[in-house]
Amino acid sequence: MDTAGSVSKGCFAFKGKKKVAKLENYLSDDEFGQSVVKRHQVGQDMWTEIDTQIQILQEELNSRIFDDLLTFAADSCSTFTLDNLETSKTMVYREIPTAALVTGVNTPDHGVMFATLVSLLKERVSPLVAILKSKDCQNVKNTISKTLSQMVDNPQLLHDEDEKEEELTQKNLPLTLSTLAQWYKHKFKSKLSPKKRRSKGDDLKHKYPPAIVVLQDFESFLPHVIQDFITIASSYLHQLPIVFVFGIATTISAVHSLLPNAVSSLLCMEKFMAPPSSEYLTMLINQIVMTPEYPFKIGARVFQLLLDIFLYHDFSVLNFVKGFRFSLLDHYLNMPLSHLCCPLKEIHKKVKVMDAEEVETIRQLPSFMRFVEENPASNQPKLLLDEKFAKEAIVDLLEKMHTYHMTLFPVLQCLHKLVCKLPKHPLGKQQREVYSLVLESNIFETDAYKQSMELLRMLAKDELEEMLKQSIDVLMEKDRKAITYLPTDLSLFMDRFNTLDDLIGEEEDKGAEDESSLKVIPKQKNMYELRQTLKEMKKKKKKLSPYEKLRSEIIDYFDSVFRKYLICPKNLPLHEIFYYDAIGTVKKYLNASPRSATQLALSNPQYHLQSINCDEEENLSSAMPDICIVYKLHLECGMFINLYDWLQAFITVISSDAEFDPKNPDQVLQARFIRAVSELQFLGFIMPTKRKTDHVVRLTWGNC
Amino acid sequence: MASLPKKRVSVSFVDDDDVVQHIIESAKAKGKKKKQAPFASKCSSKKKDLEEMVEGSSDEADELNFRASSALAVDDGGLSGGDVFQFRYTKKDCEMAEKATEASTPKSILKSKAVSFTPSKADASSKHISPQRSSHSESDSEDSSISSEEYEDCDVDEYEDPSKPSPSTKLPLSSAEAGLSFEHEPSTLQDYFDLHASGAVSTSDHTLSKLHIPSMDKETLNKMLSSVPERHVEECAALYRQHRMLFRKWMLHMCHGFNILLYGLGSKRNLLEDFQQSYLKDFSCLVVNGYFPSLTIKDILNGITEDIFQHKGTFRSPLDQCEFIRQEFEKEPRDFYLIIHNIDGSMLRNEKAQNILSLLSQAPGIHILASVDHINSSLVWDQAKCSHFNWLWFNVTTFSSYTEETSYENSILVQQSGALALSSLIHVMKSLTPNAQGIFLLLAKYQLKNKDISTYPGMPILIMYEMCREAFLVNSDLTFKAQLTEFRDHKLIRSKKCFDGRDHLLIPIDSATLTEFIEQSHNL
Repeated sequence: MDTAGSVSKGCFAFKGKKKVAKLENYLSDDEFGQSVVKRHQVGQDMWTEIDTQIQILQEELNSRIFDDLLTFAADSCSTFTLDNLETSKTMVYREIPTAALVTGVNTPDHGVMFATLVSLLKERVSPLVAILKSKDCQNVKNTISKTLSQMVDNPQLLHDEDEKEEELTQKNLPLTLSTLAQWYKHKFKSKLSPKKRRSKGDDLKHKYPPAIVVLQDFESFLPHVIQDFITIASSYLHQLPIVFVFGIATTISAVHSLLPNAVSSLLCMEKFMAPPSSEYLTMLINQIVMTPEYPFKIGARVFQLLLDIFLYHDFSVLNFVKGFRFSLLDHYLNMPLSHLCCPLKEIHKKVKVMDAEEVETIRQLPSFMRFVEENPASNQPKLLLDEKFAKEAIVDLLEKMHTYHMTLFPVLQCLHKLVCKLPKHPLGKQQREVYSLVLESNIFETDAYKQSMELLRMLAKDELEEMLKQSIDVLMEKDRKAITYLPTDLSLFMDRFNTLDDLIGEEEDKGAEDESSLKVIPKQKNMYELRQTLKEMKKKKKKLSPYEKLRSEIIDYFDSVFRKYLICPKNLPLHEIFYYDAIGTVKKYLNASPRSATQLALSNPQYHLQSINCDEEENLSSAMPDICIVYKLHLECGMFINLYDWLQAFITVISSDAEFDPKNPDQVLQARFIRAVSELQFLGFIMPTKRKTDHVVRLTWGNC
Repeated sequence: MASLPKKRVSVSFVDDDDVVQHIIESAKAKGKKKKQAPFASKCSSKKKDLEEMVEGSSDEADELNFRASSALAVDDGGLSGGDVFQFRYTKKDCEMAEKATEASTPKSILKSKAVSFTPSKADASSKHISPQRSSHSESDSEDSSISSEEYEDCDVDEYEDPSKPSPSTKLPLSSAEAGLSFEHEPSTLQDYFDLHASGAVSTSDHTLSKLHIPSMDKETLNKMLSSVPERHVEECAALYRQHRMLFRKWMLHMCHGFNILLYGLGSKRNLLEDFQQSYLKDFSCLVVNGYFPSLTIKDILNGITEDIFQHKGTFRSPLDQCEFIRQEFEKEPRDFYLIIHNIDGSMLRNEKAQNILSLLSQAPGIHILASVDHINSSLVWDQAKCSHFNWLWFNVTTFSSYTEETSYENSILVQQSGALALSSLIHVMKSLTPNAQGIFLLLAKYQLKNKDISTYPGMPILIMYEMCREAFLVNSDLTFKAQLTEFRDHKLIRSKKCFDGRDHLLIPIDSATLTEFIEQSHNL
């Protein structure tokens, strides 16, 4: 069936027999290299693991945010009752309990967050939950009908009800809050007849479940709609226990700018803070990226790119995860040895079944070559020729890599704890910044590191003590058996801190003597001598106090630890198997710039078509595709382009001889011009105008 | 110096530290931007001071303090954002012709020619081509033909050598600073007013009617174009082959839940069609021509529910339909491919359509392959939609012409042949009752008869009613009105009130198409 040129239809359906596309069919060895299926499987397994970990993390995070909110929602209407109408009428329910959930900048993640919130509310607090988005609520009627339909259609309610709520399924019922209130009364008052209540003693709290209305994007609602809605809702408060949840992206003051005093006084607000997405990202990075559990790691540049996309573009953790997933997938598809990037316990098995070809591939790796060169000369031929020996070495190296990861992260955290509070933050405030420095190069060779060590040598006692404590805590965390001697060593330092006071006492006596001898400055004959003496005094190093000695000892100790463990992974043999650093690929597929690609092709066609040889980029040549010539000509114009002149210029470029009749150009050339112009119009560079006959408007401003 | 009014000499006192600063800065600047004007270095050193201040003060600010993003700025051979997105600046009309002649004349001639150009023109163009040249304010070099790079060099030399008697030592610093900031202002000011000068458009008054054939119709155009030999065939084919190699990757990524978006110059129709033929033959898929001018989002949804699920019911709203589709896919997991040629097409550009599409992409099993061509196409998605779509971007520059995509577009130069109107006219005609057909033909014939009257207002409604009655096409005023309503709904006729107060009916189609239509309608 030809789908191109139909003038009556724009959609064409094709029904196929096959139902499910099998991944394996598209993994072929000749395209992705040998044993791609095996590799891909390892990658998939790892991704499944990571994915579940992410889910768990998200749940944890959400539950932490929402716990308070849920209790608030449950408790806020606990005094509500319909049992004795007289008292409830006399009681003045003026204020609607409202939770203002400050969520931070709107990101794609919010949809997920609110979906979780709603499901949690339904599960734990009340089945009556409605979530409203500003785009569905352009007027009050819509808003109320949306609320009603979500609350009443709730299957959970209909489920435990014996008789169906017929009156409400009828469509002719007016969609107002009074309908809802009556339905509510009918439902929950009759249901809780005294004998039932006795049987369900624990359910007492949920006797009258609150009707919760969640406004996801509070700022985008139309002010008058939301004002009316709140006012109406407040007048039903004695019949219906309404609770609002506002999702606020900016600050709490948005409520007051949107609602006048008369309306906001109807609300009894409590503020809840969701952690900003960067905090979530930090958690994610700590749990997923900076952990020895998953051997797959992203390299310095890709890590930086993903971080930058997060910080500069979207603040979306979802997108970060997407980037991470893509990197993982790409790594396992394109790195021929990536099946060795697997959990520690499988390494032996995997290396054992490697064939000669694979071992050869490993030998080709630059990092392995370096490793061979560093080996003693006696071992070198063995490594390169003896398969068995090489395999042993490989297993050893792979295991070393795992141990490296196991020690790297605790020590890294320790370093972060030390430097995160330094003035000017030479190594950054976030752990991820330190990590990206480690990934990039040997961190202990950087100036920033040296600077922070200098700063650390000037710390006061209590600060240092605090840091020491923290780093011991970090190192003592569970599952960190790798470097057991570190915390013990640090605790020894701690003990010395405690005995420091005694030492100081002893030292002071001695110090006093020394100083007294120094204090006497002999009388000088002239200024010159005085200066000399002073200089000498300065040279004489001031004696270090016991604390200072201890401090420099501690810092030296830390320094040696960092130098030992925080080696840049790029310097380790076989790092290619574990680290994915193809920044070009990631950038191309995730952060593409279609417009610059189009403009590059137009202004510089020889980039793609090598047969056009232009000596200069700027120049026009008749060998270029028509659209490029027309495009380049239009760059020379201002806002408006005269079509006649444009055509003439085009013909001048194309036809080699200058002798042509401007009034009667070659028709083929004219046709080519027309095509090129309409293509430019299609691409959005120009637009027809009526301001002047036979002119078009230029829509871009650049000149390349 | 005074004889040249365009050049100015500014005199400023320069501190030693400033000199060092300047050298460092300009060395940096040279590495990055070759064409940067010298005054920028001064500005940037100021900027740097500012940055330092900001940095210093932001010590206790929030954790996301800004640093220049290096990873995002990595250049991979393409154009950088600064090249693509530029400010508007004025251009004179003659430049296009100049450039064209430049291209067609050999280089050796060009040089002499450029010199012999009328001086005023050359002056004007040079001023506008290189605005940075006029803003060289700090230097007092006399040779204006030196390129800006060389300029910078000699600036540096001069500053380095303090013993050289330069005229720049007498003015106090403050006025020098002020002078600096004024110096380059006139040019930007001038540019601004040039740009926003309302007035007439500064282009020539030539019109296309000067040509022998002012406009072509579609057919001639196609005929002409078919005779044009394809160029760069081999290389385009090589590009195409290269893109074909990606097919397997696309399938793989789609299996992993990513969606594929193609961009780059050139029609991507063939590529996508090829992909469908070779990889999706056995799967259910829906091909959507996004560039089709009367496509609606409902068509796409109906295509899925009716043609794929064979569902007969109707839906209250597209969102409901979307939900239905999602549920169907959740019930029975299967793969379904949605191929959208030009997801940025004119009918899909609205928020609603893209919202529905992004919701569809969320359904399990639905994979989307789409192409974009418009340079601003990325603007149709906000962050949320973008993350729903889960795109992987592929650059497939093909250089093939947009034949199908532009065939519906009302191109400026193509005479509207009315082929589309004719086919739709016949389409509607076929569905009418014989009586209604008769009424319409009657109207058409009457209009043709009067086609030479330039002020033809249309057929008076009363006369038409009489004639219809005579031909036994209608029996009452009511049936006649009903028929007219039907025509109006299909936009076949337009009614117009004349000066005498009578209603007139008109078929809004040119007479050639109408003649064609009457001829064809005899064969119906």
